[in-house]
Amino acid sequence: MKKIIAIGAMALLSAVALFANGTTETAPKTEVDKIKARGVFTVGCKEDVPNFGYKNIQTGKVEGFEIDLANKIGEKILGPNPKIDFVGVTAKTRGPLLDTGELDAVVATFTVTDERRKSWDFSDIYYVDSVAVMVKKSNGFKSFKDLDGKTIGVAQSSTTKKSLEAEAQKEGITLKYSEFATYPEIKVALDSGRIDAFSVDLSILAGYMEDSCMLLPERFAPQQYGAAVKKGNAALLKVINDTIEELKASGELDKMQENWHLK
Amino acid sequence: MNLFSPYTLPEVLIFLLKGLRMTLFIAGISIGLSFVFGAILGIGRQMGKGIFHKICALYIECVRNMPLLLYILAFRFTMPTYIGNYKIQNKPVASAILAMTVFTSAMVAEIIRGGLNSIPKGQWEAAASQGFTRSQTLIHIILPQAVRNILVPMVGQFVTCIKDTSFCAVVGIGELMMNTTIIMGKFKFADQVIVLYAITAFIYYLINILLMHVSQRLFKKPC
Repeated sequence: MKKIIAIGAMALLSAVALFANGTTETAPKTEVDKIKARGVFTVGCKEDVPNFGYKNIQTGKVEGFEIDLANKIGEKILGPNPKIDFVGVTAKTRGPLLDTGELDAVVATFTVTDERRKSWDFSDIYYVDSVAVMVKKSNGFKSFKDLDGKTIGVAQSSTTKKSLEAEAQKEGITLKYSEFATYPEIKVALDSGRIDAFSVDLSILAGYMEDSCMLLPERFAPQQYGAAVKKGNAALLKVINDTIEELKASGELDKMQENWHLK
Repeated sequence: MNLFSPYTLPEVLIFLLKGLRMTLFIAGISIGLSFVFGAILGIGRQMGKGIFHKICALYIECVRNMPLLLYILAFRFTMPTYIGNYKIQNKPVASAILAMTVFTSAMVAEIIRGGLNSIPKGQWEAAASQGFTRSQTLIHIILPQAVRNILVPMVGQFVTCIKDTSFCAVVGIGELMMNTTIIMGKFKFADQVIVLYAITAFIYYLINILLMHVSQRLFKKPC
């Protein structure tokens, strides 16, 4: 019986590996040509981050600054009114879905880091954000230093924890962390007193501001958002970079950010 | 303060019901397919011979001892998106249904095997003495009795299946749980989130209680 189970497990694994290998392609055409041939540009986006990528519950369509940007990139490849397939991703799924080839690109509040550059190719930066910390007014924290020994709520697989750690070392304080899957959960944890502070990128944090909360004055670790493509996908990366460059030069990128209250 | 700001209650409910529709769609198809596969596997494990019996047993043991989330992620990430130069859209919903079916059919198989086991051996012998073949005995004598015995655990498994679709939120499928998360994206206060979770919980509860009652009514035949 043991032998049978071992053989079965091996068969299962090799079947999975076979499926994974099935996604590699050999044609000499570039990725951009393939998107043109297909007529559909597949983009990974956030569905639960207001102003960047958020599913409008009335229309069921995603909208936000990053969605607008993806549309501009789509226009550059496919012409006016491009057909774009937006696939909802999370911090956990965006990487693997690029690797399997399901997504052509990811535009989903993806902070560019050296470590991530080893796995995926990133475009030029289209948005710079910084990390900020939200606390309850009633707790009486006035600066980052006051958080010594306190628990900070951060998102899973995000870069926030690292930047907080660096800043804490500089200030000579120690912090405890509590990781959550989604931002609303962190806000609830803050409201209910399970954590003392909520830390994430400022633009996201702004979506959760209300009267009983305040932001600490410190801003640190500039977070640079870039679009990501599969490693080695130079053709698509160039189109994305060209688009961002043109939007920056014409001032339209700033306008798009203003539209979504990001400036 | 409006408890659902920036939304209204009807907007929230409609969006949740859209999620429920997806939940029931995934669960419904998975349950239907699982019932067919599960019956084949369960009967195969109990009565099959040789290699077929081994395959059924291996499948059930492998699948039952791994978590559902693993299957949902594995199918989402490993289903082929390219065949040659053609891009086949990996439909997230299809991969979720497949994962749920693979998982649930192993559970259904064990329930059916349990049902078959519950029929006394004498029934087989009695049928044989009357000249029934094995398959005739199974279809006309054993299964009708077994079905009555497995009804309760089977409905329980289907209820579990409906609840399990909430795992699909992890891979971003717009079912009830995912839609709850999306609405939560614009909520700022703990009270709002708690009320929202309560509504979602109530919807799951209502659907499953309804399923239990309907199935009990349907099968409560005098015998």
